[in-house]
Amino acid sequence: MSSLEKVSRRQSLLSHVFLWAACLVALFPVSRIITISLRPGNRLLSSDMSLIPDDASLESYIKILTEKPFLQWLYNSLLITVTTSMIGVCLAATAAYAFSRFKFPGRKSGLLFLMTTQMIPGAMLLLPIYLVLTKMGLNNTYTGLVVAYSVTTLPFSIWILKGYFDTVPKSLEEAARIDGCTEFGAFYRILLPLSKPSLAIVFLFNFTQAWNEYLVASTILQDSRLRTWPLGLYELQGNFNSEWGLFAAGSVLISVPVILLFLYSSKYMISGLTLGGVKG
Amino acid sequence: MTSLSLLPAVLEILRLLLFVAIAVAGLVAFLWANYKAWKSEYYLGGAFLLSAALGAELNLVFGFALTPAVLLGSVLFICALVFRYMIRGRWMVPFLFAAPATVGVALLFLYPLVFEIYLSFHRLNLETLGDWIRTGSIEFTGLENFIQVLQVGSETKESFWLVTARTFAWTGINLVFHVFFGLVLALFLNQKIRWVGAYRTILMLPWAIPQLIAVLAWRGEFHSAYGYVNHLIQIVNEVFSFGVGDARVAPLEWIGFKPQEWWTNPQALFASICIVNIWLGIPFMMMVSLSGLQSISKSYYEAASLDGATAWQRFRHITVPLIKPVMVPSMILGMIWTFNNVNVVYLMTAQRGGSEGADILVSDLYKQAFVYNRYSFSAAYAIVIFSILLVLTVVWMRSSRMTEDPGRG
Repeated sequence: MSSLEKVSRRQSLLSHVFLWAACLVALFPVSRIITISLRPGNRLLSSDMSLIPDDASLESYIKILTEKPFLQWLYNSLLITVTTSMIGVCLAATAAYAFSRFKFPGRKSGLLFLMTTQMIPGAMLLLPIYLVLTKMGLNNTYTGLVVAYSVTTLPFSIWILKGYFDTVPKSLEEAARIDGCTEFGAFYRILLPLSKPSLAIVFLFNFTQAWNEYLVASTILQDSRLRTWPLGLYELQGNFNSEWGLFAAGSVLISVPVILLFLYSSKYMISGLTLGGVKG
Repeated sequence: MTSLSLLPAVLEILRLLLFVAIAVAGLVAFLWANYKAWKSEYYLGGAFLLSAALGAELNLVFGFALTPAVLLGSVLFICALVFRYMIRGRWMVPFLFAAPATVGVALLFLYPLVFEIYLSFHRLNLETLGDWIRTGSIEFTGLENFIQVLQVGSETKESFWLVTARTFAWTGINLVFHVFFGLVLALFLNQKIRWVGAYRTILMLPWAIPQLIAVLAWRGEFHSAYGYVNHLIQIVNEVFSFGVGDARVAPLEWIGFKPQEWWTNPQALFASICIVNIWLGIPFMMMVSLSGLQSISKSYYEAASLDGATAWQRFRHITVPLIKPVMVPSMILGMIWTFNNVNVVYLMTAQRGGSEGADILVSDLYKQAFVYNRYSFSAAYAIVIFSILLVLTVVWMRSSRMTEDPGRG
């Protein structure tokens, strides 16, 4: 089954049939969302199953942009997400440099601990963080949410970046050191520019994690003005009868850029994940 | 058009960033000063004076109780002792680089863990929350919370053992289907056929769509009257049915293949959650398998073909051993992710009309904590869940010989 084999006609036909079927399954909810978003007004709970309804209209799209604080949700999400990713990348890069390039006591146990953190159920950490935030009066603020998000992403970012840094030859930094560069200079001027792609991947990883997150946000943010888009869309979908179409329209508007970004970056993302897994 | 409010949020974020920057700078400066000063003969004396001053200030100016003030003050002095007698000026660069993230992770992971353990032995719920915020003290209850967690069934909660069994079934089912379909799809995609790129892109979609949207869309399709799933089942049943006299007989219905009340029947709900999560997780395993397959050198297959190996033999003796190093870490990761997948289960069950008979451990934990506000109970619950997961992972990692060096896998 390697790519080397000459694929026989029968095998090729079989593959196409199978892959077509798989693609249909993969596309199924997507096509449904598009269909529902194009339905006009109150024909939302119809059992009409055609792909594009006969009386297709953009009513839902106009409605969600004008009658709902959809743009505010997007703005809130964007702000929180970018902040989380920035803090995450900066802290993860320096720590990953230390773990990748130096031997020091606590290195091994540190790496093991970082892996252990991946096992901790999110809900388990959320409770103490929520209680402490409540006590400190940070409940219902962006600050609280950003703090909670960085918890979940930082260890994984360090792990991925360390994997990348391990693949960059150390001799480049050594040469810079001989030419009179400081350790920080070697990190900042040599290693970071060389690992720009991996930094971008970690940024994107943090970004998608925080961008799509619902549960933590719903716990920490109660004020409707602070809502991120998942909270907003969830509420629309909760009102199943009236706003199912708005939910679908909002979903399409959000998914399209996310999907494009994801498909563009996924190749690097996979290599990052597997590299981090295999080479540590 | 609803008006946008932009400025307050930006100000809050800027304040947060400023705070983080100052904290990082302060930490690095503190370490650096210690590295510069540890050899000085006045070092320990100075550190002692500073920590005494800090403790006194916390106590007198900021109104800390005596014990935490002394504790915080002595932390500073212990740092000085460590620098003087253990570190002795070594490892300056890695420590400076690792310090900000380490302190961050310690504060945000270790502290909650410790606090969780503290909570699990005390009583904190909605009634005592106000007292706790005001006075900071809660009643000690010993093992009561743990006993409640492990109790076989109670009026307020499903039996812990039932939920555990369901969680294992959930993890197993998902992992098997993820790996199986992921590997099969990867094998198909790793051929020289037309449109492979297009297929791969489309098959990635379940991973690319924001999870919340995918899950909520699926949930809509599982609606018993208006969803596509029941509709589809009816169509299939009609196709595979035949008339006997006046009645129509659909043999698929005999094995349970018929429209379900997906939202309210616990078993059907659990099945639907499994379907949704399998759908969501296949692309990850597919891409991991594919990258593993593509890294296998073609010469192995050439040699095997020359020796007359069948396709199955080539798969069994070349492909499987060679993609194992890629697959095993991803499977461990996938297992942990599935076990901890509170999102999908919560979103599928929590809404109006949802049933509780389909919860797994973590979603149950979340509901106990944040829907029923049983804080201490869920702290004990969380510790039990974490122990299960820890044992599971250690056993698996041992069995796949991955523990020699966590840094080098």
